[in-house]
Amino acid sequence: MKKSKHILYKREWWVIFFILGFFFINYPIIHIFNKDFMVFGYPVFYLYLILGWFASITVIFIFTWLAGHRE
Amino acid sequence: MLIAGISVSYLLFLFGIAYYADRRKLKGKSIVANPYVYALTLAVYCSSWTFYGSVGELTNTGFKFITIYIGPTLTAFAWGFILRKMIRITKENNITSIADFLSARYGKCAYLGAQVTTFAIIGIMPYIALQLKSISTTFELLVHPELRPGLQTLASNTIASYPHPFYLETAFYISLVLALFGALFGARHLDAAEKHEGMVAAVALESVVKLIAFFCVGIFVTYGIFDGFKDILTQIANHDLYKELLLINTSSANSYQAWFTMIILSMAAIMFLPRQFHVAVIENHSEKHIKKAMYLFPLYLFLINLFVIPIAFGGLLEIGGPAASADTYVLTLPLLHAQQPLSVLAFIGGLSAATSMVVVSSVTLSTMLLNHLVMPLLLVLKIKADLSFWLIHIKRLGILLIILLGYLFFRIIGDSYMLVNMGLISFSAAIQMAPSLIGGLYWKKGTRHGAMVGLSLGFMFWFYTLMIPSFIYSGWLPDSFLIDGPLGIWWLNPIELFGLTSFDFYSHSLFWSLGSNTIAFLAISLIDTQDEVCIRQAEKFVDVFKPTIDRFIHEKRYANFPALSALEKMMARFIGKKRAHQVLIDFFETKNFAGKLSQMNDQKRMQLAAEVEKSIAGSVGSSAARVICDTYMKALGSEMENVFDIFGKISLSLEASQEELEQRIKELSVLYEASRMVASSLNPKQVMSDLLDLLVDKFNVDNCSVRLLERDGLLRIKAQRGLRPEFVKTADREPNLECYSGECFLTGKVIHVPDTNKINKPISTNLITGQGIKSFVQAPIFSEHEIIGVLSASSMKETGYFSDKFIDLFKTLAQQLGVAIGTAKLYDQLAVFNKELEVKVAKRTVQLERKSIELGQANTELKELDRLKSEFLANMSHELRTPMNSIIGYTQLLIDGIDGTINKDQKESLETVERNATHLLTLINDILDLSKIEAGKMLLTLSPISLDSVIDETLTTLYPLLENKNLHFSLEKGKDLPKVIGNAEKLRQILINLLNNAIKFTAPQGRITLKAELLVEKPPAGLDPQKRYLQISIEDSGIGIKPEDLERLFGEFIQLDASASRKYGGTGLGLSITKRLIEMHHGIIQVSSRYGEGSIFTFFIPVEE
Repeated sequence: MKKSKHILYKREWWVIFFILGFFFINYPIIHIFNKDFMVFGYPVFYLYLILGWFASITVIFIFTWLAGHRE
Repeated sequence: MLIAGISVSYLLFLFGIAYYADRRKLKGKSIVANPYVYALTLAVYCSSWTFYGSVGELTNTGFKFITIYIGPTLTAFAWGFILRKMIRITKENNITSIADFLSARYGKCAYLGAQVTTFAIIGIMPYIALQLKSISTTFELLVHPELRPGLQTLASNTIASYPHPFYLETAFYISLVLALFGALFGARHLDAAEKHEGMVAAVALESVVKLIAFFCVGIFVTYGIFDGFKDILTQIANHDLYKELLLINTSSANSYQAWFTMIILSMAAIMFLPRQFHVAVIENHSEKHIKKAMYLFPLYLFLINLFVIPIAFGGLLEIGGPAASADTYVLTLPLLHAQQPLSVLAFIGGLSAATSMVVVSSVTLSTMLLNHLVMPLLLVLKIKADLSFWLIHIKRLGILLIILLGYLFFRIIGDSYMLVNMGLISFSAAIQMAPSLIGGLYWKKGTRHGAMVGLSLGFMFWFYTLMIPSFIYSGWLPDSFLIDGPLGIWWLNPIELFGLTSFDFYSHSLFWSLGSNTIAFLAISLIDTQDEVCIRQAEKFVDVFKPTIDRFIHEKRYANFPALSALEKMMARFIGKKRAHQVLIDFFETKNFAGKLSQMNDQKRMQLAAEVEKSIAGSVGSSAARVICDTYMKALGSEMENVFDIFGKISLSLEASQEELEQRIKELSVLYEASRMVASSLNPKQVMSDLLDLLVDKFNVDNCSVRLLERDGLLRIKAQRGLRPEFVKTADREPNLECYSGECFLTGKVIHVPDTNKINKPISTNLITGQGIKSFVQAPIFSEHEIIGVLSASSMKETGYFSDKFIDLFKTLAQQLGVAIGTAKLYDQLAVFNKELEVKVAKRTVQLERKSIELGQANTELKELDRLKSEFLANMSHELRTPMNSIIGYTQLLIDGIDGTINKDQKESLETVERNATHLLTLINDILDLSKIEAGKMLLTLSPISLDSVIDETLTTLYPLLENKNLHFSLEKGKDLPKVIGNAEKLRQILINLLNNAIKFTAPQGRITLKAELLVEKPPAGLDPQKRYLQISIEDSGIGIKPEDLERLFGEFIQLDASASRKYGGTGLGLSITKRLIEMHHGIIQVSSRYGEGSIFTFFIPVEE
């Protein structure tokens, strides 16, 4: 992988993810999942929150890891 | 007693850990300076409100509790920017708390610091009380089985049911222990910039304990009591009463709006709660730790919340009951299933959560209290004593005071609505820091007044819309407030302010407080003006990552600087003798300066003063430090003043200290380098432009110009900076003494006018006064010992702007400029000359090319003509030969008498005809041969042949001639000669020609020798050295050839002597043909001769390999 120039190394990603996260955890997006509905035996809203949260943490991990490689 | 014993033992264990961490730090082997401990200390965010409250909240409002933890995860995305910047600023300014941060950002304003501190104490103190309450409640729950669920007693009624006197209550002793811990490990030194390693280690450990405890209970409930997550969730989903909890937006308390508000509040809380600011910023060891904490901390939050849902739902399914008791499900669920040790572990987890929050908060608040409330008060009272001893004790006392106040709060209003909801009320207070703090980080124009008014409005609305209603709900104010508004004014209703309805409690408050706060901060900042300190601090904060030279240090100076010992003494009052001494030593070490104070220049003194202030700030906060230092300096009659004021007043020739000299050398070398670069350019315009830019950039001159002497005899401006266009037009000068540039030009001296009020040259007045110049300097520009112009620089700022040192430098720069212009001119001349030369060469080349083409054409024509000649000759010879043969044939017939007898005279005549005809035929044959050769029509078939037979045949033909002239002929032939590659007929012709000549030119009785042998030595030039050759030579003792004639011997129609032709006969073509024939055999012919003695013709023919 090329050093420094790779598209994933840009700092602007943090801003984009921050904004994305803010949208995903607020109305109206959560309204989509705030339903009395079960998926694989779990309430869909519960799954959305838990998986979405964990995904966010994973994204931070990946991008800090990439940033570590940049340096 | 057992539980109390365990609790106290656990706390003592924490003491041990803290003590160990502090010891390790003293040894320089910190156990806390790593990203993992950093992430764990951030988890002080999870207080008992998380440990117990999340579960309770879930049973009330469903998943809304999770926003409190997802918000910080979102904020973590921005940590790389915001947190890193806050940490850098904090380290560079020795900042001690969030109040100090804001105070320092807005010009070290003491009022702002005091304001933030007051708000923080109001907002946080009840929160501490809440933590103590949780310890007390859970303790009672553990030791009094009758309070346990099933007995239908509300957990929140504990205190009411058991009104112990305080000295019998565990929470009181725990408070004391915590205060002791805070005093020991949170206030070890006065310098808050020093890390509290012990406290951090204990907090990190507590974070681990609370996570493990919660996890254990979670696993027990999920897999011990129930059959996993799915089981619990399915049961709840099928439960008529509880299934609503799986959704949000089912009531106003968990509406989307409330959800949004919670996200915003928690995003801010993780950064701006004073305790979070403390652990995240003040206690940070390295900016590098942020990166790991960015995902480790959210992961911690994720893990600790993972089991909130099963515990809460499990509790509801197992115990049920009123929501308030849900807060203690973490304890009661294990108790219900007789898991005593697990419940004790849970209690320890809750205790960890509560105590870590109490310790960090109390230390933080105490620091703020000391620096922003107590210190200003002490300064107002002008206490002269050594404060360093008292300050640390005041700080410790502050910690004790805050914890005990918290305990008092809990005892008095423990069950109030306010205390129970204090978590979110605290969050709402913390977010008020956001506009002025974030604005302060990225917006230089944010001002002190903007921040103060914004914060005041924000807190005012916060208090009115959150605290007042809480008081009412707690029963301390009449309910009518919330129905009719205060004094019956409906639009002042604190929960529906200005008629704003349909908002939930916190959203309503957030809207008014944060909205007014932000708008006031922005608007007032825009109309406000800032003083120098504010501008400087704004730059220091916003541009913290930019390497900037602190220009204030360059522009300011102290008129009367105190002695070092006095400074040390002053510092010692606040940070102790030892540290004060160390600060000075460190300063001189880092500045690499071992001199005395008297030898320090103004800049160094400014830096020292800043360092002193900074070290005091580490102990008492930036605003107090600023007041302390200012007052101290003022008392000594030493005030800061503008450097430019002094320039006009006093002489600038400071005694150059060694350090200053070093500085000068550095400066000179930089400029030398710069001017060298300028001089290396060959474009005079570029050189002048670069030099003027240098003057403007490095010396901050307001305008400067280069005047050069033109052909019309005027000094004209060739380049300038900062002059107004109308003056540039009139600024050309005649070189005479009536103007300054003229004088400079004529005398060749530097002219320095420090004060333009005293000028005496009327021609220059217009420009100088019109442009507003206060002082200026001019230097002659020399090029090869000749003055070619004048360099000028002037200042509109101050009289006496130019120091002697600058003038020296300026002179040098003018000289450099002269050299550069001279070089450029020479180069220009060279370029012109070069161009002319190029044109000439080009012209000549064209001519030559033309000639060459003409010659080529001529050559072609000549070749064609030659070919035509040869063709003509060949044709002609052929046409001539046929009739000649007829002539000869018929003549012989006549001579022989075949056509009748002829008489003797007739016979003689016919014989003459025949002779001449034969000669003519020979000539024609020769010409034909030559033409054939030249026209390329003679093709020889070469094959290996023996030379012997050729020689024999030749000699047979020529023998009669030899005999006739009575010549001695000898043949010398090598033995076993190899075959040669040749054509027998032509070889014969060659031999006949050569022998014929020899016979012709040798007198009777002469000698002719024919030699033929293999060439053994190297073949002569013109032959292939790889091949072997036969060498054949014909030697005679004839008339010989003159040396000058040898060269043209083989030409056509050559007979060296015209008379010879007549005497010896021959066509003059023989040798020419011979030479061509030999060459067609790939051989050569040579001749050597001595005139009058004889000649040797030698030729070489290649042999068969």
